[in-house]
Amino acid sequence: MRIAKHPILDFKKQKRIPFYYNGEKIFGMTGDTIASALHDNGIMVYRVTDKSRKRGFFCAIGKCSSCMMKVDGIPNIKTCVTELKAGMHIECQKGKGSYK
Amino acid sequence: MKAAADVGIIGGGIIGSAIGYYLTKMGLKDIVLFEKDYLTSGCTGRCGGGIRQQWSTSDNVKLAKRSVELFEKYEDELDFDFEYIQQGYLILAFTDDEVRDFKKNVAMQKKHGLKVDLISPRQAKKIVPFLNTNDVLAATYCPTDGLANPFLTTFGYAERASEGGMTILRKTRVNSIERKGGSYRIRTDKGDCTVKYIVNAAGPWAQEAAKMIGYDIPVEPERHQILVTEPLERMVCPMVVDFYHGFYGSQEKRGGFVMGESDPSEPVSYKTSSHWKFVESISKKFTYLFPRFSNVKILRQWAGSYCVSPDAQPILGPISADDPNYFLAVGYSGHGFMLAPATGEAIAEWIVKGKPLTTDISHLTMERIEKGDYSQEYNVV
Amino acid sequence: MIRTDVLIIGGGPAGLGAAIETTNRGLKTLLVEENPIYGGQLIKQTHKFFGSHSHFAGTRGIYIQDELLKEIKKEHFSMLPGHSAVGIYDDGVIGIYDSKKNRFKKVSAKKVIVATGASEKTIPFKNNDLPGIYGAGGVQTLMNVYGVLPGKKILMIGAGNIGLIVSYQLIQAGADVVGIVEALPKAGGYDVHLAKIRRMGVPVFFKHTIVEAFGQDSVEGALIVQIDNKWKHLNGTQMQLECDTICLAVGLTPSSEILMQTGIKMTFSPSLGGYVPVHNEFMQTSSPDYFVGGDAAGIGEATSAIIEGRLAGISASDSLGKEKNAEKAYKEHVDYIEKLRDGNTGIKVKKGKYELWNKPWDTSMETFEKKDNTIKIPKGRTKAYVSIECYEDIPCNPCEISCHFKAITVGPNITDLPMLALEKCTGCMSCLAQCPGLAIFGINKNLAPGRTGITIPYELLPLPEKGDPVWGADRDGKIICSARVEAVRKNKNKTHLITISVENEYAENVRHFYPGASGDVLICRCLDITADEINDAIDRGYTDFEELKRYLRVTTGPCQGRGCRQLIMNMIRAKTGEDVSSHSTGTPRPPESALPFSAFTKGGGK
Repeated sequence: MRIAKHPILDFKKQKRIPFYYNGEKIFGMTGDTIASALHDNGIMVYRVTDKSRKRGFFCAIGKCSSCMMKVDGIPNIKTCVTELKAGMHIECQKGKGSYK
Repeated sequence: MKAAADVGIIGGGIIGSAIGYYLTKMGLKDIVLFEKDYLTSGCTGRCGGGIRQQWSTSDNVKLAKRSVELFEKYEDELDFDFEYIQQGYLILAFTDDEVRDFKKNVAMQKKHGLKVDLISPRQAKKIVPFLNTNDVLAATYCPTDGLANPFLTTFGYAERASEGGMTILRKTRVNSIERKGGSYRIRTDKGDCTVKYIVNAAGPWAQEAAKMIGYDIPVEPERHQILVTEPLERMVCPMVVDFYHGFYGSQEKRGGFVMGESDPSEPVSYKTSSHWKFVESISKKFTYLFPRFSNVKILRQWAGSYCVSPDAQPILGPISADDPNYFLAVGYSGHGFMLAPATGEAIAEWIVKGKPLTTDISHLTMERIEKGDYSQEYNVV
Repeated sequence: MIRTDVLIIGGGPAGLGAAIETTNRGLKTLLVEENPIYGGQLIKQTHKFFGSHSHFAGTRGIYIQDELLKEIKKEHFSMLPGHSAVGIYDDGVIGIYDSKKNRFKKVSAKKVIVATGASEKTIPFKNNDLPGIYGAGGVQTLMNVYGVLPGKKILMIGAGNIGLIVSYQLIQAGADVVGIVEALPKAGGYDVHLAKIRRMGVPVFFKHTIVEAFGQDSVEGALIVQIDNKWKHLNGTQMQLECDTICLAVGLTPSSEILMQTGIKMTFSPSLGGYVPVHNEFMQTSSPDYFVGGDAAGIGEATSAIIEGRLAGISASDSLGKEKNAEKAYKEHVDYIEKLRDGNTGIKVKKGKYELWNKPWDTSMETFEKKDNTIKIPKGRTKAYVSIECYEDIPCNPCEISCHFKAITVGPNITDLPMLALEKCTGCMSCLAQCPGLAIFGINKNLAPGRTGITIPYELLPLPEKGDPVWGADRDGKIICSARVEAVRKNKNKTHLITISVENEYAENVRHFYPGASGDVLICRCLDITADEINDAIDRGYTDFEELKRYLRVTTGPCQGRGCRQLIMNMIRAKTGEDVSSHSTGTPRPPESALPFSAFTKGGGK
């Protein structure tokens, strides 16, 4: 959910950029990280651990492991500090992540 | 009040508004519409809104077909969402006689280019899956028939006509009309106005307005009752017409089912009150035809007047050769809404251009009544 | 190999502060910042900072990094955003990683200043890894940097300054804070921050803790419980709160792992938030080549981080022989930081640092003499005046500076309370917009007979307009009366001044207002028709009830117009000025209430 109006901050209008989440085409904005774009789309679960625990966004500064996902085939990418680019394929990571 | 105008229209229903709209569209500006109460206060305000082209007379088919052509363009032309939907009319035959008549009608309608078919009960059931077709022998179906909101259509005409120059006088009752040279002086409870042309679009009160200049026209008011159910999610449901039991019903765009019946024992009157016999009778018909909907709730019943003519077809054009500038647009016999576009256009052409050009209405003038030379419209509920 | 005089690790307030000092002394300085944007936590701080007016007090955090950058001498400075320091090797080489190009680079520096900030603590409770549970910093980043709201209903854990500030920011961004859970019996953060969110109606659950979060894929709610003095759960006090986000603001811990690689001395200091590198008053560690500053040297707040960074910069310069008068250069900053750490909140940090420096500590330093700054308003006062509701020793003085008439005095000791000289106060209300705590209100008893004007500093949307009816709320956010907006004074710094009027008896208690309900006024509830739609239709010419009814279908729903007929008639009258008593209002028709067809078919037959 984007903040449309803010009493203090002015969010500059950004361009919509398409990317794929589990194969489905969705949109983020220029300047987004993968995590912020997913959150805006209402996607909360970024990975499911070996022990079947769901994990999402957490620290936002790349310090923890909560938001690691498979990005363009590469697992364990910290999505909160990875800039979103058009056409990226993001997948909810299952377990430890694999290159399959 | 304006002291003079080119045209005075008596009646602020769908017919008067349509004629006013086409007159302004054809460039005439100096028009006054007299309405004794509020727009749609007569039969338009109580109308079910069906738009059907499947008639038994050629003239009605032609007028209805032309009207549908116009309805299809109105949303843009009038810049008004008048809730128009084309979901077809399904007319059911329960007797061999009906099947025979329907065959004849379909052949005639097809000759006029109407897309209509005689279909089997099984095909009918396919179109309306929840219809009880056990006793149905055959049906006719025209997919371009439909439904719209008569109030909004009237308001759309009136808004555009007002922009085009027409003056609408609400709560202004015409009390009498005097001939004055080649003109008519219309005397109302709010003042007088002298006009070159008069259009009598007074619906059930058409006869009174004709009497004001000394004519007795053969139209009579007749009460027809109608009801609406609670609104439900829309399912595709054509208007289902059953002449045998006397029933018509359809789901309107807002979701309510609107239905009515014909009651041959209804006397001539201006009555618009509601009777319990109607709701009992139509409930039986409806639940017989639609057993699955027996627990749908009735929201409201009401009644309106048909302005009935001897052959159930409208009477259009000059009231007589002696009064060529006094036009009738009356006697629609319950079908005024659906014929309003084509007849509005025809009357306006007659006034502005000297004769109707688009649709031939020469069989629908007073002449046929005077000569007794008319073909009866049978497809009436 | 990149060669530089000084390497600064971290581009937050401390790192930028350090760069000011080293570059201005001609030292070639390289700053690496792991994020693509410099500024560290400043970039999320939408609130105005406390402190001395001479040190950015009253300025919003988000503008401070640019102010700092202006003071840096550019010809001696290079900055590498998107670069993180990943190792300090045994030869003193520092490895940095360029995340954009995926490249490892080596830096050789004479001196290294570590300003790596802090990381957030978390607390144990059931399902504390559920998506929707975020650190307060994560929440701030998401909403204030990326403009994405973390959720709609937020439960805040922790009533320290961060918890209070982030709660306020969440409300500003349009979220609903369902409550703040705090284990202690009072807020750890400043009273004025607490007062600000209390008057917006946010409940604070003191002596409570979170027991569990629940939800299928993400947070749907939380269970909290009251605790006793020994942190034992009190059975029977469990409470479920509905929320979609749980924000943890349970403290920070210094993040100086990189320094541990060098083998310098570390120590554990509870008052500084965890393991910190041992350092002296001038921010030098146990190694003459490494300096620290900011949260990495012990958790504090951003203004003192800047000062610590500057001290580290001076120290590093000094050790390279680039500071002639070190004594003097240190003194200004040391004196200011001492002042910042006076007062109930800062004293903890001061104590931790004193322990580190082996400086004697006197417990009497922990108690402060508080002046009484309440004033009596003489009965005859007709002129407007301000009510300063700041009763805590916060190191802060923008109010003093903002008053053109010298009516407010804080004095040299900036933790002292502001004193108002009523006779000098003209009621101009300039101070209201400057107070970072939004703790000053304007009072005008002479606004209108029987009514008092209350001017409130306001930073929420939507901004009301003059004449709007609003609800007056007390200091706990409880609505106590109706009020009216009398004036809206917009300010460049976005703390706008809204004057509302209330009946005199509420003047002492109203300190906030809620906008009158926005949204639609439904007139015809059966068919969802709003007052706006009806007014539009009347404007369009449908002034006759019967026409209006057919135009909008009002009164044709199941209630047959019971609910709305009279309202609509009043609307027509109000708009047209006509006597509508002669209008037909439609005929109610049978059935009186909706009945199924089956009710009429009993008896059978076609």
